[in-house]
Amino acid sequence: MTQTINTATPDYIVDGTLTDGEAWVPLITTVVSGTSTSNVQMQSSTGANDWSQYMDLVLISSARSLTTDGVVNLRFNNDTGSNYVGQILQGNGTDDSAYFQSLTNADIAVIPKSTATADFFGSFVCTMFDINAGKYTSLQSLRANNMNAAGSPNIIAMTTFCWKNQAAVTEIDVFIASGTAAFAANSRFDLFGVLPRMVTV
Amino acid sequence: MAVIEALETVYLEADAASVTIDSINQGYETLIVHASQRSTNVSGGVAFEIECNGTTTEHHSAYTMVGANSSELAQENLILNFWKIYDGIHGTSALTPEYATMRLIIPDYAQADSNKSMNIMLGDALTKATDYRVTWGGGNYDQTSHPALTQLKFRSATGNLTRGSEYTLFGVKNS
Repeated sequence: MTQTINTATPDYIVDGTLTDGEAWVPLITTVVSGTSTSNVQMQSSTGANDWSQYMDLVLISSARSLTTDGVVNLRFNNDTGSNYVGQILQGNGTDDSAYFQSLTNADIAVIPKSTATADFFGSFVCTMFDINAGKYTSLQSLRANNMNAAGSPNIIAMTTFCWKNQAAVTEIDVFIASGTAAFAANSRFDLFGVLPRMVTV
Repeated sequence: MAVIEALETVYLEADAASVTIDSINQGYETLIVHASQRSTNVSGGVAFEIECNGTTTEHHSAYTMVGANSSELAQENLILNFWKIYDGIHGTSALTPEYATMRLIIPDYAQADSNKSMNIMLGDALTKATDYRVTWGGGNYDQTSHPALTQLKFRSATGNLTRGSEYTLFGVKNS
């Protein structure tokens, strides 16, 4: 696994003054290699990767599982308690369904399993809102899996989850449901910080 | 100019009837709004309203798909003076630290040759048993003169927006 972390001095701060700049700041890029990456860990650190300066985080991913388990989970700050509640609406090309979940992690995506056609990867975009405000952190995730292939669910879904914890988010772990299944090589995870713009009105 | 630039963040320091972002910069192609919001209404879900350009006439329509616990719903709200999203925000029946989420996208907002369309996703009331909602929708601001979008107003249909609600407007530049 290759992980690139942006700890550079933020270029939107010049001589101590905020300047106009990109609202989305690339923080951490993770690209999987080999066959043993079962957990993608992302942590706040320094410079641009100090998450305390951001309003929101956005995680964009293209991924595939090496096993017959393809549910992708997300956990904040290593909290393994039953503190994640969420609602999902999904369609599989034939049927639609909706359900509520109360889990020990957020269920943010389903990706192609080892039984899916080779080289099919699923995608998801996960937005985490107002992560430093002392609120429960809530997220939205839009997911698309497989499509036009057998051996793995063809699912699109929109998901929202709430982490029932008021701590600032300083770590995100993304893993396949079993916790031991590995992501396939070339799975990638791009994390962005989203800056606010406080305006005096 | 940046590709995605934060134009304005409004963070409520006290409950407010609405949040208005006006004098929207016309130098971008697409607007995006991220929001973390809550209503003071004594309820779980509450209708959420978005008004374009301060209009008092009926130019807004919206369609939504909703996952509500084990139910799938499809809804429409036609010809109103705001985009109305049923249960798009939650009130005080959800646990106090939970704020609803919204991501709104309005492409080509500054042109004057067609109506404006929007794409929206919302999540709310996840800590209020049986009121859980995830919503995706689209809408149209249908006004014959096709005015550029210069103002957006956000409000809860009943009650105020709660202290701590936050709205950030982004402009997306194409070239």
